[in-house]
Amino acid sequence: MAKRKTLAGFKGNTREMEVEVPDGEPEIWGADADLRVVGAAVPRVDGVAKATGRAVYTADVRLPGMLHGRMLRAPAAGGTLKALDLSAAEIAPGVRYAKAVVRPGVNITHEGRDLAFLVADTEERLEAALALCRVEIEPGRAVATLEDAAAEGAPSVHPDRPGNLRGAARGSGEKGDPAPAFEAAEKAMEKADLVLERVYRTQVQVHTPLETHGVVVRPEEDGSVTVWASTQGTFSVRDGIAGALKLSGNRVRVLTEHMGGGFGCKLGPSAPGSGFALEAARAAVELKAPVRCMLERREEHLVGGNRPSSEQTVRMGLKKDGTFLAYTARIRGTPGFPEGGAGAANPMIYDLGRTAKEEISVCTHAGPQTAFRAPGHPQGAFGLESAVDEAAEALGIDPLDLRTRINRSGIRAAQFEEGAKRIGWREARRVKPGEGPGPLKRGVGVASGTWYHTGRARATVEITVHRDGGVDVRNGAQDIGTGTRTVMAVVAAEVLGLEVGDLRIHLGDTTWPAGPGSGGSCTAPTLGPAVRMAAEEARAAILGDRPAKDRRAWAAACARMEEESRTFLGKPAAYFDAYEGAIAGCQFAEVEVDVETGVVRVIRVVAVQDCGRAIDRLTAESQVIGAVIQGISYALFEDRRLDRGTARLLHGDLEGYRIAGPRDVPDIEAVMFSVANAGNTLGMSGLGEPPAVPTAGAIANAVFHATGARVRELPITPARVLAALAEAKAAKKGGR
Amino acid sequence: MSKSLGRRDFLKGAAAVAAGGAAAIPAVAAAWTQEAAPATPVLGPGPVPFTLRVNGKDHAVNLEPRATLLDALRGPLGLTGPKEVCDRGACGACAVLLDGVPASSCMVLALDAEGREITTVEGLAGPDGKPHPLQEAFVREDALQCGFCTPGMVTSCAGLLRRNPDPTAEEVRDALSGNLCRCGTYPRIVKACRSAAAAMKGGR
Repeated sequence: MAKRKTLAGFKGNTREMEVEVPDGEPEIWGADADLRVVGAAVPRVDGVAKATGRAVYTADVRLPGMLHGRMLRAPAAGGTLKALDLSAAEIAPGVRYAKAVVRPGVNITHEGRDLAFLVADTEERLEAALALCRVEIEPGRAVATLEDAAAEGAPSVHPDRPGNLRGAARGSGEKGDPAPAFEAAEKAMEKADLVLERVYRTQVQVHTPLETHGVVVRPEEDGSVTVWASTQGTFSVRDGIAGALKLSGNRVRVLTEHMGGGFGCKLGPSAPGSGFALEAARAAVELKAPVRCMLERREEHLVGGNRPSSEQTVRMGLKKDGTFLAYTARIRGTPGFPEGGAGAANPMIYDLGRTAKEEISVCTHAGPQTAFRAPGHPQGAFGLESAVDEAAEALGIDPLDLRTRINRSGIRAAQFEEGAKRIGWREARRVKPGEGPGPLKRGVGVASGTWYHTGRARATVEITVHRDGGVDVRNGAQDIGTGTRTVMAVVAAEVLGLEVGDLRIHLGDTTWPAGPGSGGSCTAPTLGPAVRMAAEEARAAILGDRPAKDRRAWAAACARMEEESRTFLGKPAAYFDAYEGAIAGCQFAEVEVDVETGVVRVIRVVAVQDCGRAIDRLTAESQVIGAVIQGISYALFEDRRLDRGTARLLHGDLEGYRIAGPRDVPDIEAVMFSVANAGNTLGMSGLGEPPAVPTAGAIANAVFHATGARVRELPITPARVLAALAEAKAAKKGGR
Repeated sequence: MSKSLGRRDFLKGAAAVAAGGAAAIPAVAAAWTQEAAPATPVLGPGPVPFTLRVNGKDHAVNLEPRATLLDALRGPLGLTGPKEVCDRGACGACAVLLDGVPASSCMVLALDAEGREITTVEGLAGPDGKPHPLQEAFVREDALQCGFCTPGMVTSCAGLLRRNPDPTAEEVRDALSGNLCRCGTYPRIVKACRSAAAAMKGGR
């Protein structure tokens, strides 16, 4: 390790930092680094393949002799499996494989539970065979909602472990019992001028990647298998299938050249609520033929994972001047059948005095929660930012001023200023909540988010330089549409003095060096520094002391190589101290609410986002814009609903489950707030998740400003807006 | 029972519709009123040979009448640009141009597309393989992320520009209202479409 100095921070707020850097690491690109390609707007390197339809996704793979597999799924929720008879399906035309994956007596935890895996020679015959399977279920009561599942005498989702409440003892930052923290917070609240208690609720959200989960598995002559997978984790698919087939990992080759969206639900070997990929692999090996299994849209809703619901009971005590003395949150949420994972990131970010928190997961007869773009955060930010707004309103303090007061991040303070200027905060907030002219009322709201520096020293990037000057950059991880390939190309081009188009970036093949699963926004900040390291090695070896000037200089130096090609590895040994420990972002939303119909339209969003150093401005902005749109969709439309009596899915399509379309989306201003954060040699962070956090909170607060009515439950539907307006009107009449 | 319209009679009428084009309505009426079987043979349920004209070339296919145009394109024709996402006409990922007009190919029977000019995203590029100005604009503006909705988006935009070479942002959003994107690329698609329109007007 060596101590190195670097200039860290952001425009107008830089400082020299001394950081411990492992030996062999290149110079840190500090705030004052003079870079040629990094930070420019570079079109993504696989853009043409995607725009012309040439890009091949797992769903597009067609192999000679390929068979089609699908899981037979439980048609009900609750109860136990009494009988499973596949005999009629087995002898149906074209059927090649029919195998139960559960035994009678199994508890039907959720609609869509895996029962049997079938393979046939065409999709039509597969469908016909599935209809011939006889499933007999001893019916049992099912619970679909948090209220029903938490009620006294509710049927247990896991009858062998009674009750549906899990994790009651988990408190925020405290080991074990959260009760002492709650007691201390309550005590602190005794001195408060104002104590507010509010309940906020959020819905279940389904990831809805356009390409569903799926694999094509081809058994090879030598006993190995090749797997095309729509995944965020090529290596987790490899390990899962190797385990199922009892093969060593290097006998399973997983390929993911392009994939059609994941957002957290494609990190495992199959899907969060199904083992379909492992069954497809077993069937392929047994049948000695390629098997394709892509989930149907309805299956995707049932077993593809979701963002859990939340019910956040917040209590806060403040002084008149806006100082928080205490803030507590009791969180309950429905993870579906898994026994945990339904938390919410509330409290966070702000100085709220004494805090306490408990998180309880309430099991329901439903498909599983799983990681979803900033797990816990969008729902937590909706609760927290609504609560802070309500406190500001009650004290007569401008909501942005209150946030500025309790904010702990220097980056966020500057972001608040920047965003307020762009949205016209002061001007807009001159109008008191609900007092603008109607019936189309306008309002602005603000909310914040945070995320973590998640780059890790756990990837190796291989760069091969050919005598003709060609450069291949390789890693086995995947580009899930975020622009990882492009980021890697930009970094290598910067170091070698080349243009982005000169490089070939190879991703998505587990026969190449190991890389991370794309979760936690870690892919680019893990691979970026590894590319840099390998490229610096290559530059030193090929160019020596000559400057990395341009393509000609590079080609001339390569031509002098003795070998046909040379290979260089980059594997950062550690990541180091960051300028600030967390990523900051804030968003300002302007909405228009029709107070006669309750319809909310988002007019404008300004998203000010710390992204460390933006490596490619174009794809970085796209990430922010896309996250905001998902946030709008979450705030206004999406709602996974189950029938309350049977816990069966009420919609398995893209009509009943509505996501934002082109006409729902305003122009979005993505303000890339670059921070040289010194956490790695590029000073870069991940960007997939952070901008997904604040949007719903900002919209909810803007709706309040427009109408004077607080909607405390997502999605903010016209019915909820009208109900809140009626409530606000009644409260006014009541003389409150 | 024998005098009422059976499923078989209806299929005969429907076949006449498929074959008859402009004579569609009289053919259906005939099926309802006449007991004597029309001369048109019954199609299906087994594979039926017919021809699809895709991206300027005729392709002989042999498909069950229930096969959708999307099945035909992605299966035997190997054109996997159009994607299957919802399979129910809700998302536009499978959009193709039928005689120049965008259509969800998952909602069209392959048999019904016989005799029509079908253009997929693969057929938009020039004969030299040079990407269509729309495709170039999508890349330039970064109007795509995972790319799974992109072929449908590009195709819908191409349909729009054929009937409206200079659309406003609002008109682009309207034209795309049947297309869904989960990554959230809409604003940049609107930009790309208008940027392509400008480029095409400039004689490109």
